[in-house]
Amino acid sequence: MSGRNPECLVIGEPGAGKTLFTLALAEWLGQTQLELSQEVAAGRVVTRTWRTPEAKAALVGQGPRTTRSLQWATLSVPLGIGRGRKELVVVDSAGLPSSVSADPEFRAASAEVLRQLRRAQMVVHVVDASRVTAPGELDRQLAAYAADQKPGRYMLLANKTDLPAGRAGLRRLRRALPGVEVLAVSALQGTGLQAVGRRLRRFLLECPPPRQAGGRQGGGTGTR
Amino acid sequence: MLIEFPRSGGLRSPVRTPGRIPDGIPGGLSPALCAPDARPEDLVRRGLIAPSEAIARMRGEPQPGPAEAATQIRGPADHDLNVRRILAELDELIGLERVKTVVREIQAFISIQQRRRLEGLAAEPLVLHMVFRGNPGTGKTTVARILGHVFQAMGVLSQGHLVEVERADLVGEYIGHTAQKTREQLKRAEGGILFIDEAYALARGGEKDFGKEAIDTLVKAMEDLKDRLVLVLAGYQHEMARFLDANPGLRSRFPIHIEFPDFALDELMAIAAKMLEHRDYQLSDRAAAALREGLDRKIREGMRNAGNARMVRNVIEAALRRQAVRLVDRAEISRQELMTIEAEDLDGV
Ligand SMILES: Nc1nc2c(ncn2[C@@H]2O[C@H](COP(=O)(O)OP(=O)(O)O)[C@@H](O)[C@H]2O)c(=O)[nH]1
Ligand SMILES: Nc1ncnc2c1ncn2[C@@H]1O[C@H](COP(=O)(O)OP(=O)(O)O)[C@@H](O)[C@H]1O
Ligand SMILES: [Mg+2]
Ligand SMILES: [Mg+2]
Repeated sequence: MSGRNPECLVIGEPGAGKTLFTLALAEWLGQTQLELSQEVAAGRVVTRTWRTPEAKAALVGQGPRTTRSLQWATLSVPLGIGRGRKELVVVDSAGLPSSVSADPEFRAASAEVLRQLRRAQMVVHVVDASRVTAPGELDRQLAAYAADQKPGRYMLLANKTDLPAGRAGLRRLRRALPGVEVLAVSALQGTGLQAVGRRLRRFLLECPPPRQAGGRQGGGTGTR
Repeated sequence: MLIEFPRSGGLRSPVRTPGRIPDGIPGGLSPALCAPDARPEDLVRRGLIAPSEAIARMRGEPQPGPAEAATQIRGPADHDLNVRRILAELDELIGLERVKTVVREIQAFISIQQRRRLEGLAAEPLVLHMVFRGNPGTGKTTVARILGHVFQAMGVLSQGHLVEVERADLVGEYIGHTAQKTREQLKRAEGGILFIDEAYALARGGEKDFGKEAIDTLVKAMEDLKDRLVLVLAGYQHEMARFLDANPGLRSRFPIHIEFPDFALDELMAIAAKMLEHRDYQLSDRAAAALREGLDRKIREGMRNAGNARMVRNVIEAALRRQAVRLVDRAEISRQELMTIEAEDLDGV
């Protein structure tokens, strides 16, 4: 991980489809495999190359939460004809629970996600629209936070719109969160990713060049 | 580059206790909850608030402007994930314990100087030019590349890229040509690291040689590009020592010296295992024994480049080709066979 590429944090409740979305995005960008890194303990990163179908089988959860820590992949995003490509680090995060968890490991994972949220240059918020309780308190707070702190650098995805319940949920989300643009996607079927890709491209084109100083990376691909 | 990876299953599902502070956390208002400067994520970590509440609190935080961003360099716990990730990449390298320690010292030193500067304390100037001494294939280039990324993530260098050059890239054929070539390379490296392999080759031809002109141009650039370039001189232990002894003015400009020892047999085996893992191959038990024996023999025979990772890579790549030849005409090949390197694939190691 070079530390020089702009980062996009994928965030949401457990089971929203963050991991499947991340992998579907990689596929949509034409990648048949991807290198996924994971911080297994403080400072210990493990990287593994996956073919996307296998990654889906292994990493996408039936249970409420299979992604326990941050995992990230560098995706190459085409910027449009004649404009080349830019690399984007997509960070798939552990789901944020709607209440205080009794599991300290889980809480530590949530704390890390919040830290990442603060510094993320781009945020993709995934909501399971098929759940009747969506949007929950967490989703509302996230959308409100993004409006203040990440203007123009935030996307809200209503996921699982392949399901009838998901399509109903999409309408509910739009009603519950006026002023927030809600993009309908299905990570399972790979639909709706065009609109996501367009926004990522715009973000990458506007992304500031690397900072000269100040600790935090500014983005841009730098010289290779 | 490693293989362990948690798969689905075997994970504890979270216990949810809606609206209630979970067991094990003392009841009552914790001081942290009252402390105005407790960070929301720390309260989440301690089980005092739910993530949604933390996000609500983060909403009012000041936006990190350029000055704010610098304040974020606080301490290890607060360090950019970027720096941690990059250092983790360093940890992935086999062995090199002393090198890893020195890199961490450098990183800590920069971090503390940045903090001191923020507090208005006198901060040491950062002179990060280095000398790397060791045989080929001992990880010098690899470590330099990682250091570039560390410096970039810490804001010390704007790009942090590595430009690797040798004598021929710097020294020209006529008067003035050398200064021009050297300046070109310096320009390419600006914002990153200029890594000069076998740097002593610049002193090869003696006083009249153009190499001298290259050294002079580099020394001047070290002044002019003080904050925008890190220079690394790399090469064999003894040649480098002799070179610096003959150029005391140069030595004093390189405060950091890192030695890259040859790898021990176990380390070479670990490097081989890792290179194979990375490529989805594995050694059969007999192949592992054969490799170990072959490497051990090379070391004992005192081959100058025996203890290095590049030799391991060559051996491994040769083995992959032999395995392919062994299997290619077979009608049926199992997945296991596709992955396995047998002892015969290592013949002649
Ligand atoms: N029907 C449907 N199911 C989905 C979709 N996206 C995710 N899922 C399912 O939702 C569950 C959780 O997905 P996962 O990506 O692991 O969620 P995460 O916890 O947010 O990373 C899995 O069983 C997925 O197969 C979708 O678009 N449609
Ligand atoms: N400690 C290590 N662990 C694993 N692989 C290593 C290690 N050191 C070097 N390598 C690998 O060995 C090869 C040669 O390393 P390199 O950094 O180019 O050596 P040098 O610059 O000293 O000649 C590279 O492919 C590198 O990835
Ligand atoms: Mg997940
Ligand atoms: Mg080298």
